Amino acid sequence: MQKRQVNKVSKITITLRVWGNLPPSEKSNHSLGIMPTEVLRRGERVSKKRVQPVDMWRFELAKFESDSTKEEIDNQMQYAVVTLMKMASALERLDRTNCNADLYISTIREEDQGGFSLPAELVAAAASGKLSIETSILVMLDDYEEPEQESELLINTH
Amino acid sequence: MKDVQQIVTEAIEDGNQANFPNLEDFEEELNKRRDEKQRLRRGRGANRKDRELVDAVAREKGMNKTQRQQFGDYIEKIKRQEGRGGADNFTRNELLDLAEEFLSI
Repeated sequence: MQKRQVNKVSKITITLRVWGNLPPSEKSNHSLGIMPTEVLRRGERVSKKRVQPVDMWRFELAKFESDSTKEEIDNQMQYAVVTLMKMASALERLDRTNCNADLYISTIREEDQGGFSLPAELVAAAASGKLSIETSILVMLDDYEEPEQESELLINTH
Repeated sequence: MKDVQQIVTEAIEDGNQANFPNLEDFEEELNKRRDEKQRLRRGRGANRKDRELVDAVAREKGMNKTQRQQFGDYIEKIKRQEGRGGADNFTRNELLDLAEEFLSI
């Protein structure tokens, strides 16, 4: 019997990040003209062991998977382009001596081949806001071997 | 007389910790060197090795397949939050801390 083919899914998230030494959140929200998806302040305790290293203002522009329809992806890209174009002048005015701004593309891939493309309009919108483009790729193939449970190990020793 | 640095270097080169006076020092130095090596490592093959590192940490922390997949999402989330660049990867020690943090959520 043939094994059923399971589709490998890759996830892509596109985020606008403004980070470094930022003014109070309200001021950033006002100057950028939009409410962020998340704001974190430097020194804030984000977990038991970790403290946030920089001020971070981020806005999620698009999030989709490789099995999303072309229409869904196009709509999200269009939303990202329009949002960035609206923010371009505010982004351009940011004091880059105190902060950085980038278009952060994060992708988790379950396949060993593949890629993604960015529409020219999105690249142009990023450029007009003087955003650098950062890409983070994590490959998570379906070949992970779970560790043996302690009880199994005990059984195997007898 | 050999200093600690020399002993560690030799022990690492030999691939064992024979004659090393203090296990904790040895492990600390070994981890530091691993981290440094990883920071310097860029280019072809880096992503494959980083994945292997993520998988190794996931296994070390006893994660099942689903947890390991969610751990991947978590790594990317924290990387995004911390203002890291795309190629600014986590070291082994940082991944171990993140794995504990992830499992405690």
